[in-house]
Amino acid sequence: MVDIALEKREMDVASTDRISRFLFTRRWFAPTTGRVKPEAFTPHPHVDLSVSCTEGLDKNPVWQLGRETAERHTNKPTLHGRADLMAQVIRNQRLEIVRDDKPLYHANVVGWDGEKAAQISKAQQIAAESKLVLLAPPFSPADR
Amino acid sequence: MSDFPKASNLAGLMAECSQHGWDGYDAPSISDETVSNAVEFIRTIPLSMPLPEISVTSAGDINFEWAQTAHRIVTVAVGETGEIHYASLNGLEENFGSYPLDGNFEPELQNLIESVLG
Repeated sequence: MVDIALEKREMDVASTDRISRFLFTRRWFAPTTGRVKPEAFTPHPHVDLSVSCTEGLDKNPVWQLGRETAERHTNKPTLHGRADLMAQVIRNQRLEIVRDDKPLYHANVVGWDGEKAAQISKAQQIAAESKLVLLAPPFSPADR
Repeated sequence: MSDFPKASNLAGLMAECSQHGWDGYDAPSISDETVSNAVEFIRTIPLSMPLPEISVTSAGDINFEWAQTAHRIVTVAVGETGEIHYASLNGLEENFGSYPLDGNFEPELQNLIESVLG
């Protein structure tokens, strides 16, 4: 049976659209080599991965989105940067991008294999095609 | 066996990830079991191997990484279960697998690391 609702939401994200994953820990990138690490794309225990659909947004609104994400979180984490990639990179791994706009621009990457080693393999390939964009200076909600 | 001079990294990592949601999303804190298993895994790394970088995932696993570039990388994940999960990307070639944490370093994993770094 075809999930029409899911198909519609998938269609909201074009393959060439920019997807961003905000980076709240320095463990997820290597600034000296400009590399995003696979850990940034390893799914949550609930087997999904939170991303933002940032296509069409200028630099400032994208960072504002990241700042708002940090401020909403109980821990008030520091925003160090983001990993940008095209939606097609995710789809190449047979994963789906389900945009729910809760909050605005939010989407989940779903369809991960239950096997952890396979998840790591997909995360490696997504990270390899991602671009690291650092925020200078990092934003810490606690400093406000 | 390696005495792993960077083992102190684990303490720093535990401190960073001691609170639920440390990743800015909804990650669990790193458990004592995971740290214990990570230490066990470190003890199996052959002395001849270069030291990996240590990281952590939203799933609460501790990851060990040997990387030449983003396209030449081996990642090993250690969690609470005592199962070792690894994946390798070497250009267009992908490999992944799992094995039990039993005091031995998987020869296939060693081959993949040597191939990626070679």
